[in-house]
Parts: sequence; C-alpha cells; structure tokens
Amino acid sequence: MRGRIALALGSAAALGVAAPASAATVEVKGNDALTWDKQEVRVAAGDTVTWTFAGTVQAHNVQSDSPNWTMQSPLGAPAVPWTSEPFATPGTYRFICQVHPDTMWGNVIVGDAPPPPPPPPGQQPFPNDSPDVGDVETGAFDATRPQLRDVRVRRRAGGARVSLRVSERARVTVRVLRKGRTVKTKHASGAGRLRLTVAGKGLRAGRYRVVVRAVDLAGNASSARSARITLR
Amino acid sequence: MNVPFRPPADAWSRRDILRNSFGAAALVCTVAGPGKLRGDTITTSAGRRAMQASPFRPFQRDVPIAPVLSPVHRQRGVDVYDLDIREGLADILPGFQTPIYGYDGIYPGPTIRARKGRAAIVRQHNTLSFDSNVHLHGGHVPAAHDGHPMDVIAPGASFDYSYPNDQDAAFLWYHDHAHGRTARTLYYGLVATYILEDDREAELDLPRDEYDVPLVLADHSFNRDGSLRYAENVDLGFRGDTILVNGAVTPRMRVEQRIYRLRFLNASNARTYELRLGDGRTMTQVASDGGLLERPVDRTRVPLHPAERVELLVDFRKFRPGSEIVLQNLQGEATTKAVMRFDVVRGGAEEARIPRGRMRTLERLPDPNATYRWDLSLFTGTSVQWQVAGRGFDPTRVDVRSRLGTTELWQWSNPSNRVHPMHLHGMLFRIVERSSGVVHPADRGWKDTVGVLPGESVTVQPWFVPYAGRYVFHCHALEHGDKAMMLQLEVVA
Repeated sequence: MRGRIALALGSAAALGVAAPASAATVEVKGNDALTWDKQEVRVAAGDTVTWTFAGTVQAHNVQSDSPNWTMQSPLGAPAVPWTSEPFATPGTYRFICQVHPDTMWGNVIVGDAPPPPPPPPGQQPFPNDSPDVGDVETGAFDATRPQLRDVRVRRRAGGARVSLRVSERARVTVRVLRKGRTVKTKHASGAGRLRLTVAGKGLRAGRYRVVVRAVDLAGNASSARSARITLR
Repeated sequence: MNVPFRPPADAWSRRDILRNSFGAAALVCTVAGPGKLRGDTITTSAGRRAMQASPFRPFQRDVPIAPVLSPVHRQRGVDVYDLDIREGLADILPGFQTPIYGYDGIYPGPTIRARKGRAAIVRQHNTLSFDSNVHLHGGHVPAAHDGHPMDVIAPGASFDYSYPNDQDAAFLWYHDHAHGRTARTLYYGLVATYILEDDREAELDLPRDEYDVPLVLADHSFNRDGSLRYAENVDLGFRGDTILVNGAVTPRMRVEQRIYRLRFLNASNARTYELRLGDGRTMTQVASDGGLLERPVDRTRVPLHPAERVELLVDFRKFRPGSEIVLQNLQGEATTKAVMRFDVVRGGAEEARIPRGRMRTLERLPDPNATYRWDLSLFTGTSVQWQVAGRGFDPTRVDVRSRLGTTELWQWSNPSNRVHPMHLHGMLFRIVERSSGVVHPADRGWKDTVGVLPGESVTVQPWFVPYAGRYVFHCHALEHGDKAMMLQLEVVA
C-alpha cells in the first residue's frame, strides 16, 4: 500500500531506486501485498537481478513483459528465487508476476535511460482511507413491555366504558368475557390516556369480566388487567 | 473476430472537457472539483467541509434502488424488453463520475420483474467495441438463450433472449458471460437483477413494493480520477477495498418500523461475505438461489459466496426510531467490515408478517443414476490456470453427458486453499452432503451456486430439467472461471 502511494507522488527518492555501480546483483523482493519492493531497478551493463519471495504464501513467479528480453521462473507458493542472465544491452526491461500482473510489475533499467514518467491519475490508486466504523448498533432495541395503569371499568348504558393509561404507544385490546367465553373484543391504538367503550348486541344483563392488554410495535406485551362488572 | 477488451476509462476522452478542465493534478485534491461539477451550489462552510471529507466515508448516502424496467410492449402473454449494453458514467464516489459498462448505461442495471408463467423476451443491443452476451443466472433457459461463453453478440449486433419464466419464484440476476473476460466485464458494471414472482409467494403475504429491496453487493477499488481500478489476482481473485451496495459506497437506508424483505446478491468477483446485523440480531432467511426454502430459518450470521443470493426478512419493529444498525461483513478487512447501515425512522404497519411453518414443498427427486467426482485445482506449469478434474475449458469438448429428466450425484472436491463457488447453468441442484459438517437448513432448498471451502468436498444432486442442450458449469470466482475453471455439460433427450 505504502509503496503504491509513494509511486503516485512521483518522487525518485520514494521509489526506492536500487543502487547501481558497485553491486553486481540487485535483489527485488516480492510480497503478499502483491507488489515488488522496488518498481525501478537501475543496474549497469553486465549486472544481474535476483527476485526473491521470502515470507509469501500466495502463488507467484517472475517473467519478462517487454519484447526486448525473455525470462520466466516457475510458479510456486512460495515461488523459488530466480536470477536473470546478465543484462548486456542498455534499455528498459519490464517484468511482472504472472498471477498478479496489474500490481506486481517493474522495470530493470540498464545504463542511463531516463526514468519512466509517473502514471496519470487514471492509473494511480485512490485507496479507501475511511476509519473503523465504531458502534455496530446505536439507539435502542425495544425489549420493554408497555405498562398499564389506572385501569377503570365503568358500567354504561348497554355496555362498559374502559379508561386506562399506557406507558408507550401500543395496541390495546379489551375483551369482555362471560362465563369464560369472549363475547366482545375492541381494539384501540395510542399512548397515554385512552378510553374505549364496549357496547352493542350480545351484552345482556349479567356478570362479565373485562380483560385489558397492551402490545407495543415490537411485540412486547403488558401483563393483563381484569375487572368484574355487572350489567343490568 | 475477437476484439480485445478495454476498460471504460477510455470514456474519459468523451467527458465534458470544460467541466473537468482544471487539470489532472487538481483531481488528486477533491476540494475544487466537486463544486465545479455541481455548479458551485455549496455555499455553507459546513457544506464545503463535507465536500472535503473523504469520498469513502461510510453512511454518507442513501442506498440507491435500481429502476424497474418496463416492457416496450406486451403481446399475447409475452413481455418484450429492450436494453442497450453500453458505456456510461456512474455516480459512485461523491464528487466523481466513474466510467462503467452497464445495461442501459447504469450500474447496477435495471431490475426486471417477471411473473411465473409469463414469458419474457429481452432484446439486447451490444453497442460496445467488443463481444458481449447475457446469462440469466439461476434461470431455466433453453441452451441457445443461456449466454453460453461462446454464444456472443458481436459489436453492433443484437440478440433476443427468450426466457420462458416457467419456474418457481426466485431472485435471479443477469450479467455478461463472454468467454475469458467476465472478471472485467462484471467488475466494470454489467450486472443487474431479475426478480421472478409467483402466486405461492403472493399467498405468503411477504413484504412488497418499497419494503422488498434488492441489494447488490460488490467490492471495488478506485483510481485518483474516480475510475474503477482492477488488479488481476488469479490465485485469490480480485479484492477491492471498498464495498458498494447498489453502486453506492457503504450507504445508509432509512427503514420504517416494519418487516423488510432484503434480497442480497453477492456480485463481487471473488469475495465471500459473512453478514451480521448489529449486535447479532436475528434475520429470517426465507429464500436462497432457487427460491423459497421449505421453512424459514432464523440466522444471526449469513455467509454469502460470489453469485449466491439470500433473502432475509428483518423485523425493524423491535428498534426505536433513531436507532442505527450496521450490517457488518465479518470476513472483511479494515475498510470492508461495514456493508451498510439501517436508520430506523418513525412509521410502521402490521400488515406483513414473518411466516412460520411450511412455505413450500420441495419436489421429490428421481434417484441419481450416475456419480461424478470433480477435483478443483491450480495448475502451475508454463501458464497459470485453474482446472476442474485436471482440465481447463475447451468449447469443442463435452465433459459430461447427462440424460434429460434424470439426476446425478456430483462431488466437487477442493484440495486447494481457495473457496470455489461452483455454479451450474440452466439447472438447479440440491446439496446432499458436505465434508465440513451438516448441510445448514438454509442450504437445503434449491441452489445453483455453492461455495466449496478449502479442503472440503461437497456433493450436490442436479436435476437435468427442463431443456436439452449444451451448458457449462464453472467456478464463479471470476478470475478462476476466466482462467479456464469451467467444463461443458450436454443434456441429451
């Protein structure tokens, strides 16, 4: 990563240019970040270059990628180190790894050829620099049950009026039972103070039980509240 | 004619030079650029600060939903669609325009919503400079319309793909499949979804309309000018440093307090995802590649290999408005750990429900009448090539002949150290067993792609219906498939 950004700046010092002159063999190291440690290798005529792959586990090789020379090392994971023939003729000799040709490329420059120009922005990487995301969940997972308070059931003409308070927005269900069977059901949705009236056919004189329950949007249910009422 | 592929970065020369004429070097710093591209509408200092923020910052943008394609006409039970395969410019990184190849020039391409029993004809016009074709992934399609890698549409030509839609409801997708270059053509944008619906699904009362959301996941990298950056890696397959959902960088999605049907497609070249919601919240899987499962399966971690689809019902009623829940990729690196974020807003309804109990009954298969074993391996001789059973793709050679209407047992054995998502064209299979453990309940439905893990053997039972002809099966890690990890099947009547 760092090596690629350094290339984008185009500065020769950041490119890690190999020292020529006294060295007869220059080492280029391939790595599993899929780059070579140098992209520009300057040698004198008659020098050789050795490519090594210490510490890699992905499959790599090194081979020629320009028409002025031929070289190919065997593929391996890790790949074996490979030394070129001596570079006799001045010029620029491009090399790649066959498995990762887009990022593992470089040039051996023999003699005094000028450095290749930096690539245009359309070929310079723009790495993702966003920081770690942080919390994977903020806000609240609703596991609280709604609370019913002040539940009052009063007899009204022909039926019952229920008033109650619910602690959060919920769907309130009022059931009127006689002898254990539900004869009427009524729903209302809201929060805070609610009033429902249950009336109509089927509510003859007699003793009834009124059961009130609230369920919020997340499916949490309150405990049931019940009251007895006698209709005349 | 085999014109070489070129990336759509060449479209740069046709972009509005005046708009971008402040020079290539200035593109490295994004401050001046975006204001110019948007006509200097940013006037507040907060706005200017926002534009200076990295375009990769997550959750800056609402997830786009690909448009639904309308038929150009309907005739006697057949819907006819018309699409151009062409270059386009996509708004992916804020402040940049990214050259892509796309169906109708957009990425992802338009969604086609089809109905079981109602055939569709999709007229594709290739306006690119090189061969292309279209494969309907997961579809029961006659061989001549399946997008076989050698059946290409030449530049300037057109082809009418005929899709009978005579299969159960499923989340399919269509993409380029011209031989040897799918790693690049899909990467640069030739990907779109195809949703097939039927009556059985409608009876289940699953979330619909804006609560039924296709989400195309793909990892990409970028160059300094905002263009897509591809780096070939034949061994591991391409890995990008940025996750795009429906073509937006790690977006957010406003969700109401209700149940959503999230249809995930892994359209990455080679990356496997493992999805987790928030603090391990339950997601109910109702469908896989080949449509509905028999029963819904509650999951907290969902692996998704390249080309697989998974449909998850998520109940956002349990979150208070203002909650923000991140969908994570547990197998990601630093910048590919977050996929998208759900922002819960007020508003909810109770119509949709999570189905419990049986949703469908899978057909009983005929007994298999043959068994094959295919080894998946990397060949490292003079060139690098991935192979199946020691062979690479040869269009003149048929590797297996199967009888129409029968089933067989195919064992894919993977001694390599890479995941291979193996995909069969034109037909579906059931996973019978795998050496890594019990077949997960969510993998027991119909599938067309299965991720064979390193060191694993997976046995599948394909059912060779309903059409005879030549099809292919291959690894859907695109770099592997392009470097020959594909064999040819002939179904004979």
